[in-house]
Amino acid sequence: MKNKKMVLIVDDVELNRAFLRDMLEDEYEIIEAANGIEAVELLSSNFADIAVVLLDAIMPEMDGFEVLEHMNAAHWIDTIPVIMISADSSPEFISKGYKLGAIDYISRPYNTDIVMHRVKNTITLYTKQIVLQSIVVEHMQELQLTNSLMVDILSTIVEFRNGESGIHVQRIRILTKVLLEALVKNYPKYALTQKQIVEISNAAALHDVGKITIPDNIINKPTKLTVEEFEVFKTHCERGAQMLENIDLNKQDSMLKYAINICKYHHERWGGEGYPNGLVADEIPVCAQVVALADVYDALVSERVYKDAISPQNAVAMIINGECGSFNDDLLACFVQASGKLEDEICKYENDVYLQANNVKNPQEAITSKDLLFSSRTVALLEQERVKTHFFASLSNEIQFEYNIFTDVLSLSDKGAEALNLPLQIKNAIDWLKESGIIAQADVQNLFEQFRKATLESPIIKTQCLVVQEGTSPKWHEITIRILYTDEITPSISGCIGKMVDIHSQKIEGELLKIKAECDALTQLYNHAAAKYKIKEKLLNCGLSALLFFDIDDFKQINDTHGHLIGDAVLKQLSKIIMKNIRTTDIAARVGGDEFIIFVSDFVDKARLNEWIERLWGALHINEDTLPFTVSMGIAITENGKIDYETLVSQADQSLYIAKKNGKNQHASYVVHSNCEQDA
Amino acid sequence: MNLREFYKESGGDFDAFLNRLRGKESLAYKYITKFAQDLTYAQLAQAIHEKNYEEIGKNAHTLKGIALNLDFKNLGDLCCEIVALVRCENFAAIDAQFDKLSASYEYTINAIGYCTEHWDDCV
Repeated sequence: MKNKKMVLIVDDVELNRAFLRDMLEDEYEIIEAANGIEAVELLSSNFADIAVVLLDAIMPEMDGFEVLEHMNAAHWIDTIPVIMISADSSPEFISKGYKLGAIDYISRPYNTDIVMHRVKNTITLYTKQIVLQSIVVEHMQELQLTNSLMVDILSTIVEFRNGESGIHVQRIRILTKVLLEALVKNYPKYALTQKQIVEISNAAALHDVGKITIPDNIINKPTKLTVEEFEVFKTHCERGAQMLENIDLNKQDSMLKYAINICKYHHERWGGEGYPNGLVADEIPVCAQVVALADVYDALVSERVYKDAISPQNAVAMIINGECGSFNDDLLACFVQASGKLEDEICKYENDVYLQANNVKNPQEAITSKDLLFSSRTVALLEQERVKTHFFASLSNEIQFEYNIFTDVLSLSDKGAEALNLPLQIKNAIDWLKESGIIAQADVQNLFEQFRKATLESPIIKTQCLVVQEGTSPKWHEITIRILYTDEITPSISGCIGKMVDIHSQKIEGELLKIKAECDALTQLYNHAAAKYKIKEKLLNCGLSALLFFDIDDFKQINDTHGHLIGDAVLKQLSKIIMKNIRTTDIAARVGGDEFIIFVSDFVDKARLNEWIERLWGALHINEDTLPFTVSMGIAITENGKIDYETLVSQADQSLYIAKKNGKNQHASYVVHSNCEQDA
Repeated sequence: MNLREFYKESGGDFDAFLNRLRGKESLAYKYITKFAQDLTYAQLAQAIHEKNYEEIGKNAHTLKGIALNLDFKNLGDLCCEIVALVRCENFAAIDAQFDKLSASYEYTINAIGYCTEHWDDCV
């Protein structure tokens, strides 16, 4: 029953209603009214469901024509078709019905087929009309959305490129509207409609669009522009206007016309001192005059790369004093009048967010204004995110960066740029990274390699490398990178975000701790534990090797005679000699008191090993800096490391014992299967 | 008398009437029975008695509509004439015209009374 369309039959004669009900009730849900008043009541409670009304003209209480008048007043007639039914087929009668909005007329006697077709066709026609209407509304709505969104995107891009936030666009829009409204209110000669005010305010967002044609080095130059640079800068007015003129858009669009004038003339000044044309007074279109003032004010109260923010009060004072050029007196009066509440107005609109024409009546405009709200809220949310990110970045000492693969631009956070003494943005970033030497070539290659290996599932890279800055020593940094991918069916890398943390002191401290743990405090050689660990490791995989175990002859006597300080000096001296004469692969340690071990590995043959031992032995006896001393040494050799550490040490120790026993200041080798004493 | 004869007598065509109802005799029975119960004629007679010409006009118009739907042609034509007399304010002629209408109405009521009682024989 529910999915049947509803037909309202209005006739005072039950018999007539019965005729129609019988004809239609198989296909439609029927409701009946016996007079006009009942009809209006049913219409008001079911107006969304009624697909068609069959209306008799002559009825008691309220006749059919009065019902039509009611339907017109309530706008039901816009969506509910009415078919008049009457026994009176006079032209005056029929035409009265049509004039009141009836769509069709059925005369008596009723023919079932004709009535059914008329009802069906009328409903179909109306349904189609409503669908078409909604398609048109949707289409227009989309167009409007695209328009306002494109304006927002375009102007926000320009602002971001200028190093300013997208909020500038919103503020200009609001300031322009407030000023225009004050102007219209106070001076009737500025006869602008609400619609025009909204158009100008929205067009104001595009005032600096021409700046995208101005080179970066001029736009973002933090210092004063040279005369030549300023000449180039000034062309942004004319270029912006040209761009808009050349775009293949509806040239008659009033917003576009305003936008062109605003671009072209927003740097003109009332007294003729502006540019590009030096127009005077009323030669400057009002829309451009207002935007000029709004732009100047917002530039003053906003923080820019080259200046701090000025308070609204000071900004107003500077403008009134003519420090930013001359403006229309009417406009200035409105500006002064509104100045106290400008920031409040901006807040109000930012919350409320968009500018809408006050008298939004038709559904298209109503829907459109919702979309405006949406696009503006997006900008506001983006801005909020930007502020948030910026805030956290400023709190942290991390160097944060962002890389875009399409523009090949590397952007650094404020702190990052400061810490590395680099600009905020680095163009041709890949080449720069390869050539600047800020990171060692090998580390760069490693980074690229990891970049290539990263996947959508594991997009995070972590690496440590030395970062070189001019004038300072290289410092260890940990770099963490999150790779970003495009939002496509087959995602490709679009860039990355990341941070660099200075871990130099930590890393150095760690290294020092490790060294400290492994080294003998006095001699800086390994301690016994470290040496044992390292030698055991070496023994697992080595060729012809030897462990030399030696001590200083009569060291106790040196200590006793000359004191411990001298004794320590001797130990240090010996360590120095050892360090100087061993290879990087050798392991040398002080294992206690005046006892030392050296493990030397991987000799081609015994002759070479012996040669090496003899050279070291010689070196140990060239001592010019401290008291003369001699050493005794025991040597244990392994062909291939297939011996455990303890055995090797024991063999060397036994050989040392032999050397000592044989009169000190000599070395002895341990020989397997032979008598050590004899060998020595 | 059957329905076809009655209709012919009244200037109408029962088969045309049935056709408009897609041949449903049950509907024809229903409407004809309802006509006998309808109060429009009584209201018209009351208005004539009271010489309330506005009501006369309305009720005559309504009765005309009903008669047309049922294809009672003569009755419908007589109603039509009364509506016309009211419109041109020829009130003097109304009574005479109403007498004719009354005769036609009574004939109709009697005929359909008989036919509905002997429906199966009359269709």
